[in-house]
Amino acid sequence: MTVIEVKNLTKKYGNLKAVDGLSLSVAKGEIFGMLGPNGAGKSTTFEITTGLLHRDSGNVKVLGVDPQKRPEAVKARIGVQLQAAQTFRKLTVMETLKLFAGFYLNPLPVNEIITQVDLAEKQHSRVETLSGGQKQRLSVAIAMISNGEIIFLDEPTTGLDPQARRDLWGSIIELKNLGKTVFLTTHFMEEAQKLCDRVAIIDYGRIVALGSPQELITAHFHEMSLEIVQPELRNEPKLWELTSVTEVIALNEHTVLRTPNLTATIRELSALAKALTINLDDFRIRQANLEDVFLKLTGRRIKP
Amino acid sequence: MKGFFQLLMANMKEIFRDRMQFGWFILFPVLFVAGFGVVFSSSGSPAAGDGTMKFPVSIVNEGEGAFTAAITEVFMNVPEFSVHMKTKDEALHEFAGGEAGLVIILPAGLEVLPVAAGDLIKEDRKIEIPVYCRPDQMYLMYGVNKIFHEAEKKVLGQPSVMEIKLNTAFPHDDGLENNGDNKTSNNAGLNMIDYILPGILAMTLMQLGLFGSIRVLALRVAKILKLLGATPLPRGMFLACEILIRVGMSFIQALVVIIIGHYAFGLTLANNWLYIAGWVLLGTAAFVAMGYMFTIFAKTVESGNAIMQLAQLMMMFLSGIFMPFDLLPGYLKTVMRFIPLTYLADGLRHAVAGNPSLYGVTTDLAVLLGVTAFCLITTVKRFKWE
Repeated sequence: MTVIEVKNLTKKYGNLKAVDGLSLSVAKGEIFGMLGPNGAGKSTTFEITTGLLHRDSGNVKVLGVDPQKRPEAVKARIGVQLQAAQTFRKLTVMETLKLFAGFYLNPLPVNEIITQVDLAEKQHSRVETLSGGQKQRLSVAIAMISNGEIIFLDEPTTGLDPQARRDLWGSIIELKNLGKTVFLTTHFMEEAQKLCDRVAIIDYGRIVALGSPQELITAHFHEMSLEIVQPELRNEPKLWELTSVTEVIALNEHTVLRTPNLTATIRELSALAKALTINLDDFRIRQANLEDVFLKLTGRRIKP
Repeated sequence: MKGFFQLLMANMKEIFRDRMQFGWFILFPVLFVAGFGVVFSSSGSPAAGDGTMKFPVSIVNEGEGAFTAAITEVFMNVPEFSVHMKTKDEALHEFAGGEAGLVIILPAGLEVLPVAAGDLIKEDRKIEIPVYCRPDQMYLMYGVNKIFHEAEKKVLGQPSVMEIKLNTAFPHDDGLENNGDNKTSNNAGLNMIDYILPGILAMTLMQLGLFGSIRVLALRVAKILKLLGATPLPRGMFLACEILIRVGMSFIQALVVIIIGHYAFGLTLANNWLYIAGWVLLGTAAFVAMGYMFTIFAKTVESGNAIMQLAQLMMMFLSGIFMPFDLLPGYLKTVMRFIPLTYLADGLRHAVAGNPSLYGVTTDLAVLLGVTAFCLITTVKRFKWE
């Protein structure tokens, strides 16, 4: 069952096309991620689907309702976390969640949510005393308390340390287990790869790829990646002459060699190192990931 | 409804838990009332309050007639005045010598005012009433104004053709000291408190309205308005909640000002509470709406504060809330006419202390309603939720 349907969506800010003919559909119960750099049009799409922003053209249906025509009908059935939105500073965590629970017909129990986002110790603390990570978790908790059928999260883990980020992923997966649909935006590759059932890679207001993280990777890469970190080797022009390598990508901190035949490449590489009298001691082998897909599709790296 | 109540409570907690803000909310009107009360009230002075203090007033009647006689009689009936009829030369000589602190000259031609007023209005002319008042007794001018306004109103239905021309030619110094203790007690119709305190009340309402809207601006900057907009809470409900809190706070401040004014400084309470509440509500509406309108032009809380400060200072000093109308130079009188606070202060003087309105109650009402409507419409059209 489709719960979010977006067709040919466009939105301009002056001359800038923030969203340019974007189409996607989200099925009930999946975690769907929009991945892209800042300014790619993720947040604009997000705000149009949540009924916060009017579109220029295209069709949008959320739970079968057009959020532009009947925003209140959509808002009553979804929970929303907004990027960089604060909450009342002088209220406690508990009071804040009770306040937002009061706006919905069937909110989840406040205590349950507080435990789930790991704010039990802070439940009687005022929002102004919380750390950045705690505030971020509170804002996700606000989306969760709605008990909405779709939970919209706009960059939910920005500003969190890696441990807190993983904890929050746990809460988001928990939402999925409860049968909720999760629609999120992120610019963390790892987050999209580990968390999302399907990912739309967005650039310049368009979808450049759509599918499960594994599908995207296998569709675009049959090769392995070999990353060379050593400075004396990674800028060596002869790297481009290795016969088993299909592609060489020079990045700031390392150079990536793509190869369908890893054994042959390592053999060639060690021969090269020997010829240059360099010890080959700092390289990494890995499978392609979403970041590679993004790089391949957009020619750029995503910058958090 | 549950959401509304929750939001109301949340907002109140936000405001009252901000100790600094809440402290000023209570302290500010108290300080102002106390400050101005002490300055303008006689009850703080040891020389006053015994009722035996008579203030010498010289009246020069150059136009003998029923109307001027009636005005003279009004002055004679004020218990704090001892009125002496003098010739102009005598009176001015005494004024220059410091023996008389207040000289009122009823010019020739004034006696036919009831008949001639029609022509004067038509020709847009005014009759000048020269008044000499010593600077240290300037507070008496309020009473003098009031008597003239009332007299004119009784005869013509509206104050419009008599213009008091104030002179403060400075007498020599020893005269100042000799009579420096002369004060009027506060049970006469000349109570300066009755002029000043309703003005202070108008000012606190203005401040509450203007600076209260900063909160909405802060909520917008913090994207809390946007977050609330993403919930099913209707925007109207949010606004209703905001306005309810503003009105509640205005009533509390009005109560503080009026009660302290009445019990500590003898502010006259001439009307019932409901009537006063109506005017307080009207003033709150006008300035809350104006505050919201100003937030349209502000992108940050800081710029919002600057706009409100500017608006507040301009209105505070150009509205005549600290000084009776006739004490101001002519061009300022014109400026005053364009300041909405002028009309709220005038309305409140009428509503609280029962003073005659300087511009007419209908005018006050119309201006305040007009300001409210204009600001509301502009706000609704241009307001940004994020």
